[in-house]
Amino acid sequence: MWRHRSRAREGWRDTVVEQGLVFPVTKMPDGAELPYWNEDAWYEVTMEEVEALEAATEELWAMCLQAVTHMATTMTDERLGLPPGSLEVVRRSVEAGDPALYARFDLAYGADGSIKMLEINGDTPTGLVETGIIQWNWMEDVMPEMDQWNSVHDRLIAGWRKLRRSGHFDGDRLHFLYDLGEEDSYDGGEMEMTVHYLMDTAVQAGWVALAHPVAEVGWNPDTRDFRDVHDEPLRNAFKLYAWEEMLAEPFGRFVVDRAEARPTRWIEPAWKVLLSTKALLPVLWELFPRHRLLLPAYFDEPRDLERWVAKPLHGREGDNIRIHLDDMLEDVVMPGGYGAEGWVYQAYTELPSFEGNRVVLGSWIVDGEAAGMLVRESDSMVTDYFSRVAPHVISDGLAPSEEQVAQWLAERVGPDAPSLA
Amino acid sequence: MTTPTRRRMRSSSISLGITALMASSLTGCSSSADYAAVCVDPDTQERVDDDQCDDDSDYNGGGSGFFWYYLGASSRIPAVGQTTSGGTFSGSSLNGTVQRGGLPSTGGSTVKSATTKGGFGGSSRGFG
Repeated sequence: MWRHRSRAREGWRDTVVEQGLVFPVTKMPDGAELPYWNEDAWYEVTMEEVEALEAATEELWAMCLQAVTHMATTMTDERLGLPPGSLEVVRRSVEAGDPALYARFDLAYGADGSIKMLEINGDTPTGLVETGIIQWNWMEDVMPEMDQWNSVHDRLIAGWRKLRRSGHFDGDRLHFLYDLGEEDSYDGGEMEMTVHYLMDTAVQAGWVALAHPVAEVGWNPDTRDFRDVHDEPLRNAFKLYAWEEMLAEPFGRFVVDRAEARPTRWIEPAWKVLLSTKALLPVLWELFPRHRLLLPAYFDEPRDLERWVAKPLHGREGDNIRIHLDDMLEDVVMPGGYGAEGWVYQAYTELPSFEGNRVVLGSWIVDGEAAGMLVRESDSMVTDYFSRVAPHVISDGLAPSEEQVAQWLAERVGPDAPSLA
Repeated sequence: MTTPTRRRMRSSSISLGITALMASSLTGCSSSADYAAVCVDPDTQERVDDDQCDDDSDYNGGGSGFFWYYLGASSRIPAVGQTTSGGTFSGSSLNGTVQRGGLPSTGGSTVKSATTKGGFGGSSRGFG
């Protein structure tokens, strides 16, 4: 993997905003702006590297699904810092075989070719607009003859179509719910754009879709069902809103208590709450000790780790992360509101640095298969809210025919697709 | 012997509609109305089908025909064929949101449903 400097396209900012990235820059607390989309550089990877990352992603995904059934049957809400009744909801979801659409791994890809899982965001991943649209269009503009590890768009449409035909849903109307955020917590449209991009792909797969904020969801005590903004029953709903939050909120009780006369079908499903907690990390290390794709991780204490990263169970975007490298040095401690729910300690691994840009790879799973990557770079050790995304290309992959693409999309990379046991 | 062709990793093409539309205008949403109107025969006070009412003017106490009859949020909705009371023909005098027509023809408990909101969406944390 190499980083190349590049001249940004003339008018790049307007271009990416028109294409859906309405948050091309990140506002700093002092009002200054940092580029969020960074096309002053691009990353070059070889097909061999991509194939290694792709295989690792699929192997990790299979391990995560094993961990879900293990956690659902052996752990407690308390241990996981989840609201009472959560695991019961998870178990029902696992038993029903609730299908899922997507997830994003964060990987550290070492200069020596080592691949380590930092974490997975299995419930509410964002970065789709950047991956599926913006970096793809950048390549079409700048080097259209090249290839990119990025079938996210095609696979989302195929994934939605498969969900629609799966028999798990109630009709073909699908609501898209998102957290609007207010004032300080408003994210500049990231949630809305992510949801509307997903909605775009769902509509292309035959769903009838409507989007509105999750706060507009209602509960009707007479008919005992969730209602949408127009007071129509909420039959099927995609939510870009975390399950552990939903289950802790007043309406979560109706899910826990099975109060619904005709339960809403949720995407992502409730079992995904186990793939959005850092508790997964020590569980994976316990289930797959010394696995080459994992970093050692433990609940509650660093044990024998000398250099470690403490992560709050429900932490996001780098909040409250604490990095300990050396007893003589002060720890790096990030601010935030998480931590009361419990902590895990994960071995520290150095991120590869390209001219001072520390890189984390976002690796996508769509419908159970590796689907592409997003490069995020950061000045600091923690890939936080102020990180940037940059495009990539596969340097030795030339564009083949449409027929070949269709054939490859239909083929699995690994053997059988993993599923919840 | 043919040279094996390399796999291609990228999407074949990207066509988008909603995404670009949303990027140009991020919009909010409405919620349920404070008043709702059913179509009524003023002579009998009997509810008739919505499509009998197409006149934009309020009933002024004279003439014949069918007119919109506005029911407040806590009113019971009459079924078509039932008589109704407790509302008003003066739509132009109302303060609040109004939904004209579209109520269930079989009637129902109240104009405004018992649905409550705000039980989800209290988090102020970012996801992603």
